[in-house]
Amino acid sequence: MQEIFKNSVLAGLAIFIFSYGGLLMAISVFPSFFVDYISPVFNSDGSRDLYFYLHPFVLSLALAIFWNRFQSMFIGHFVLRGLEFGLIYAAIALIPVMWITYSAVDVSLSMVFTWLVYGIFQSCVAGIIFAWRGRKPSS
Amino acid sequence: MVFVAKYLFLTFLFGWVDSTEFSKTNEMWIIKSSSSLEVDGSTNINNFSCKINSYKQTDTLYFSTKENEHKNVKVDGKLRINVSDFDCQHRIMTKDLQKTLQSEKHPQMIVKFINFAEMPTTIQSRSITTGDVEIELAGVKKSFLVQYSINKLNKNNIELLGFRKVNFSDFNLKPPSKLGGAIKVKNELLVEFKLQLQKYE
Repeated sequence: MQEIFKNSVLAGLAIFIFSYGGLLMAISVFPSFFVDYISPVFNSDGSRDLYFYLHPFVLSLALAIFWNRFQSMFIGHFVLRGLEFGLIYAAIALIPVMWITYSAVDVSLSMVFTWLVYGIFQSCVAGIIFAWRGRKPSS
Repeated sequence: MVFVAKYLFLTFLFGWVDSTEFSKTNEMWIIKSSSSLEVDGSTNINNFSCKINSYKQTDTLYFSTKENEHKNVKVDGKLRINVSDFDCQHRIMTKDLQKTLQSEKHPQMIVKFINFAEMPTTIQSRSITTGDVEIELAGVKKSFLVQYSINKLNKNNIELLGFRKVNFSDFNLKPPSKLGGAIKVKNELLVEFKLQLQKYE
């Protein structure tokens, strides 16, 4: 349990830094892409900003539980284990969720695709941190 | 009895004063349907311009002032603008602006003209003049001094180009902010209206 909590906090911090740093960088590099976000679909009064910024920690807790249960199935170098973990999460959770989102919400395909890439990036970051922390000491 | 006599005397006196000293010069000008309105704003990622290209209706402005005086003109008349007519040339931004301006709850933006520095007939072409307007948006009324650029097309037709910077916060509106504040609409907007006026004779 303590391991899940530690993994969750560390991965949450890493996802927070990489995600929001990446988001701000992407906004400054590709501003025109983000014009579609000025849409009534997205909350605009700031009342849910806290939820938005807590997302990395909610995600990392879920991923830490997943890792704790199935980590023995990932083998090889810690980076590869982390990437495989992130891709499996994308296959079983992200793709179906993005599929239903695109089918039901008035958002563009390119926007949903970037969410998929963003989610894969986040889960790979978490996976690499979990795998790095779970390395066996070399003999 | 004395009280009644005093009342009648004062009523007569003020009625007489009102009809002589305060007699007025009046003009009526029709706001043509070709009049337009534009709201320009910016975000941290782009600029936007939302327009109402055609007023789609006609309205009348009544200008009145004391006789032989062409300054300090009182104006009576309004522009009633359907917020849903704003077009930002970007479907999603148009929808967001309409949501921000609470178009469902307050479907009309009303520009009420209060006064004008000069009588329209005496205004020189290519001159600048000023006037107060009251803008009602999202159920909140706010008065502004507007600067007009005048283009006199002929004796009976003039074009008024009005400019005024306003803020979302002037109308108790919060500029939209998305993705936890990563994308922000700036508080300041530039309202530009082009009034095509035709003198009613």
